[in-house]
Amino acid sequence: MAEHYISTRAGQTQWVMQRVSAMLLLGFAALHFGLQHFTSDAVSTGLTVATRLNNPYWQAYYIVFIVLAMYHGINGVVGIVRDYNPRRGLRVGGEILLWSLAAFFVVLGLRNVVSPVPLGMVKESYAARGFAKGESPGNPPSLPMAYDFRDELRELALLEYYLEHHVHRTEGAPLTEVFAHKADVRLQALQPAEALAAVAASGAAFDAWAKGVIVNGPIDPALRRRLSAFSSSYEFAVWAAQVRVANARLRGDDTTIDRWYSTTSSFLLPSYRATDLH
Amino acid sequence: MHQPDRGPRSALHNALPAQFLNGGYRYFTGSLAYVLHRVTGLALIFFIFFHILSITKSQATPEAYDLMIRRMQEPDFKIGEILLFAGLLYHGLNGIRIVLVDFAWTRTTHHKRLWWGMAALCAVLLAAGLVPLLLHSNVQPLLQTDLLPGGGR
Repeated sequence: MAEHYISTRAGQTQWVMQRVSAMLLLGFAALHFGLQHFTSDAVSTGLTVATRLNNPYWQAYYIVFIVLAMYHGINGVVGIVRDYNPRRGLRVGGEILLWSLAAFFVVLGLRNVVSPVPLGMVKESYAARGFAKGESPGNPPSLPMAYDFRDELRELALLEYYLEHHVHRTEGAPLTEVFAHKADVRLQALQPAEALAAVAASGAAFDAWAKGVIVNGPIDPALRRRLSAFSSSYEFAVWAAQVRVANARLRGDDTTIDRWYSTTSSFLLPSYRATDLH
Repeated sequence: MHQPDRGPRSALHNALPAQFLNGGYRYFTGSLAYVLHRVTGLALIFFIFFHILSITKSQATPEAYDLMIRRMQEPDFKIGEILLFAGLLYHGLNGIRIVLVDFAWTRTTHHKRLWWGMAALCAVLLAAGLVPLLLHSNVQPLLQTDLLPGGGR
């Protein structure tokens, strides 16, 4: 009978808790790692991460995850120290040091989760400067992996991801009508010029959709949904138009800029402020 | 067919290079499982320290976040990502085995076979996971529409 062999000496609680936290961590770590590494690149952009960290359910998830992981990890190291059977003073000192380290990293981690960068600040930042194009600060310098969401195809792909996952849609146009480039992009292998033209045409189609949504104006505030990163199609359209203009400036794409700031039309693109639209 | 688990006739003893056997440490299936679990566990706690520190640094501004992600797109981080995946996979699966052996399956008859089965499962999952991890780069985005953000549905 197994219960005859259960020790009641010091360390029993830690032994059991190590296994309990391990079983819980399996699920937490699998979801976190799978989401971050086995899904689209877009889950790691500042906007998606800010959306998640500003969502109370995800905040609760990460609070539990950080505490469990740090408990399990430091408890494991404490067990390793005990395996070497150090002198009492050394063992107690080591354990105090290790649990202080755990407390320090739990405080740091929880601070990031409990008070994240406000979502509005992140959205305004992208509206002002466009999507990310980091110059490589590291070594080796960015040889095989380019990271440039200002390139029009990647910009549209990212906007499509946001429209599908982070926008409370308040108009009915299907995504296939808003974004038209997908079928034509494989042409690039054979005819680069035609593929670039297809991407530019898709950009024009997206701008036409966004302009139509903006012209219709803001919706009834009662229909907005604050848990989405963009609480209405109108908010997203204004934001995406500002991002498109900022990206177009950076890649020297005058056609897109002229489309939004035409001197012949009476249309005026509103500036994006997160607080205005919520 | 009986395969000795420890001592000079064990399969693991024959497979290891000579310099591993001079220290007097006796290698067998259980010790391999134990060493790997300890090494991956220590690596993971150091990774968590790094992970929390880099996220804290990136939370200063949206630009700082983009810079961190840009850095993490580079090849050295791709290698680290694969090592992290392998370490998590082994530590997690071996952890399941440890809990099974501790609580559910206390008969010792098939412990060795259980570990080798777990190791085989680990290798299969590692190989399966490497495919998306290695394809999931931003090389030549125009040729790989399915791998683009928003693609792959």
